[in-house]
Amino acid sequence: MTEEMNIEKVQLFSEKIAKVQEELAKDVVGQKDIINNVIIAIIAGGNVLLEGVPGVGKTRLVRALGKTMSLPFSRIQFTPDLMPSDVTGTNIVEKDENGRLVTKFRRGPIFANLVLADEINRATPKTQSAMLEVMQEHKVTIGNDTYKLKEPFFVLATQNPIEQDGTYPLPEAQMDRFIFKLIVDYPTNDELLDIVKMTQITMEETAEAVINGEEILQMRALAMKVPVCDEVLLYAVNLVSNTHPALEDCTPTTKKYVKYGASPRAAQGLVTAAKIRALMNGRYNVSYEDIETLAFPILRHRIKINYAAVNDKLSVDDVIEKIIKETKRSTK
Amino acid sequence: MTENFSKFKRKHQIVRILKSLMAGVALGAFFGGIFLIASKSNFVGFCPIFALLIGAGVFLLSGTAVYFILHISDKKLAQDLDERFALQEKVQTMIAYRNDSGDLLDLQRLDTEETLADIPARKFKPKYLWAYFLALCIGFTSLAFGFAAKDKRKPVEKVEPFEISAMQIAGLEELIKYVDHSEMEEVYRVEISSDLTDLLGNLKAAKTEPQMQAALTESMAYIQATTYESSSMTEILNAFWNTQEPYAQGFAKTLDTSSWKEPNWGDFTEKLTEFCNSFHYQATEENETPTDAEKLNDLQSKLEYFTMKADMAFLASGMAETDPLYSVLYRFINEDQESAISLSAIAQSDTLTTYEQAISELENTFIGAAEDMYAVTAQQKINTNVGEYTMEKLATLFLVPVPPFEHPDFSKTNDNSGSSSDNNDGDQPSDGGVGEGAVYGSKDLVLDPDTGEYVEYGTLLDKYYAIMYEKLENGNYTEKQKEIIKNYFALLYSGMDNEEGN
Repeated sequence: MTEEMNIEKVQLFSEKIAKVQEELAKDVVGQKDIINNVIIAIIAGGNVLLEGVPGVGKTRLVRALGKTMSLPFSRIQFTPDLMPSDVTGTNIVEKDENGRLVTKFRRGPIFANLVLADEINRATPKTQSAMLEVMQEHKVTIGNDTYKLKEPFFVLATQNPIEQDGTYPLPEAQMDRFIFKLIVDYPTNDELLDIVKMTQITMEETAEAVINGEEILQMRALAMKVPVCDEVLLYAVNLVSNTHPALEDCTPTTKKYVKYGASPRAAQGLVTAAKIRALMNGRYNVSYEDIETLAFPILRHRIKINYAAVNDKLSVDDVIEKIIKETKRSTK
Repeated sequence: MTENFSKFKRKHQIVRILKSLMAGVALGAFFGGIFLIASKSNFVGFCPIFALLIGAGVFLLSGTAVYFILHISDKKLAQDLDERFALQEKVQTMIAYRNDSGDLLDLQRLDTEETLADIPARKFKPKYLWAYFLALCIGFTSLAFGFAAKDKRKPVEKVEPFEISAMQIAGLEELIKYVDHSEMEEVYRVEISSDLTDLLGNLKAAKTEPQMQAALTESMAYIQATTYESSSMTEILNAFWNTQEPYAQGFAKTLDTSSWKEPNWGDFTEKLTEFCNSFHYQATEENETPTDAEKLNDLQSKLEYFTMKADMAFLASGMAETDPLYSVLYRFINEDQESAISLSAIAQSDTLTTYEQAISELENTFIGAAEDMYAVTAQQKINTNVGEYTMEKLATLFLVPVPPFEHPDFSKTNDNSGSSSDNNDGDQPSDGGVGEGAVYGSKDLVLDPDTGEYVEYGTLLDKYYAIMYEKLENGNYTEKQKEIIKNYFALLYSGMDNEEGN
């Protein structure tokens, strides 16, 4: 492969990202970091958990994202009475062409490329568990039959951190399936003004499809080729390892404030996401900055802080920041 | 290796060499200076050149050590570049994958190359260069102090080579022959001759000036010791002179042959006659016509006082009784008192009735002893001459200083009179007689050193006599010495008796 072709691929990558960002900007005001991280997660093939108070545009963001992609999109509104079969689908009995009764699998809304799991924590654990296999393995097993989902497949879930009544916190196993947990903050006054102006014209999303599934897969393949030097790779691994208080050489902050740390999926996701971020920033290698920036969305839902941290009024992000500071880079 | 990375590597290499040199020079100068100061202050036993060599050694070692310490791998250099220029690990990644190729690896390499190309090498400034400059300043300061330090070492004398010349060998062999054929007493002649023969051998073997000097110094010291062992003239005559008694001093001058070139019987007898005549009665204004008894008494008093002082001189000389000169002089002054052929015998004789008779005895005594005294003094003069000639000849041959010769020293003045003995008209003794110095009467007050009070001299004499008697009984003295001291005190007491009689 010639150098020119490589450059073309990278340029195409950048153009596609720019177009997605441009289209999303039509429907979502501000939230640039959230948008970029969502794009990173999609290219990485990971699921994203968006957490924010009601009305900050979580659902709109996901819907707009679905529109920018020429991909089947479905939305599941999670409620306490939502059954697993409502998500995955179920076998139904119906008559065939010959009038005989036959069992036929009716696919649930999960059979799409981009699934919005709105207010995922309102569903019961049973229903939430139905998402585990789908999110990790991108397949659905009903009875004795397993159905493979089409690639690319992403779940973009939202949850409300305020209303706790009638909610079921996601189990750690499921949380680990999300590559990112993104906190959607309340918009600034200027952003709010833009939002109001925008919605006075129309409430509908106006974003257009600018990328398809094949292109996303190509972009993922290209990003995976971004080189990472050993020092940076080791730093990423050490950062994740340092979240485990059981390890002897973890940081003092970890020992003091962390109840349990991140899984190996965090390290994998961290390096993968860092590669994509590097390429998005026009770089052909991963830097320490990529790792440190992405450590927050990747680790914040994987780390459980203890009472000491709560007592010291430290958030998960505060603890992550301390761990980052205490994790040494490769010395000369 | 990429060209743009290499330019930083070259820059690092230059800086590395520069820092190594600076560190080496700084440490070398510092230790060179320290050792220079130590060397100049005699704290260490090597010369300043060696201190500078140590500095040079430290320079080489520390410079080399620092050169190796400052070595960094490409990986480390890449890290350094990434950190300094915030290159987001581009260079590290490029170096890590420099042997690989791939879609994005090539692009990454190209991108990094372009980035590095935009950074001029001059921006890659050496770290901690100030510390090296500081070290350099400290080092040069130390070296400057080292050079400026005062050299407290003893100057090292240059060792000159030495080889005895044919002329010197011939001169030395001639000197040996001279000694062998001289009239020096045999025992001393053999010793000096043998020493000169040894010296000749040592000088032939000597390769350096110090070796020559050492051999000569040792030989000359031996010859000098032998020479003065062969003659007791100096010790005995000095002892006579130091009595401060005019007749004793006159006697010392009479016997002094140090001014003679060769022994001369005529001169000797002439001087001895003059000395003998000095005892004759000299008429004074108070007593222009003395009686014969008064003249006899005057003569015997002079002789008695002279012999007493002579005995003290014998004691003070420290010479053995077997010494030839000591023996002859002692006999002349003291022995055979009964036969009246010594000065003390004349002084104490009761049988002499007239002054003329006493003078006749005195002259006979001088005549009787003259030959023996001449023989001894002439031999000792020959011994001294040969020894001193040998030393002078050696000094001339080998251009070394002549050691000081020991001759009788008549420069000491009479403390009591305050006048110089040189005023005594050459070889002639002064008027002599008792009472030249401070003479105390028995009733005179003198300071008692024990009590710090002035007491009568008579009482103090008793005290001194008691101390003397105890010392003589308990001390290690010969019978002759005891006799001399007791005679001295007897003379003092007889003086007190005469004082009371008058």
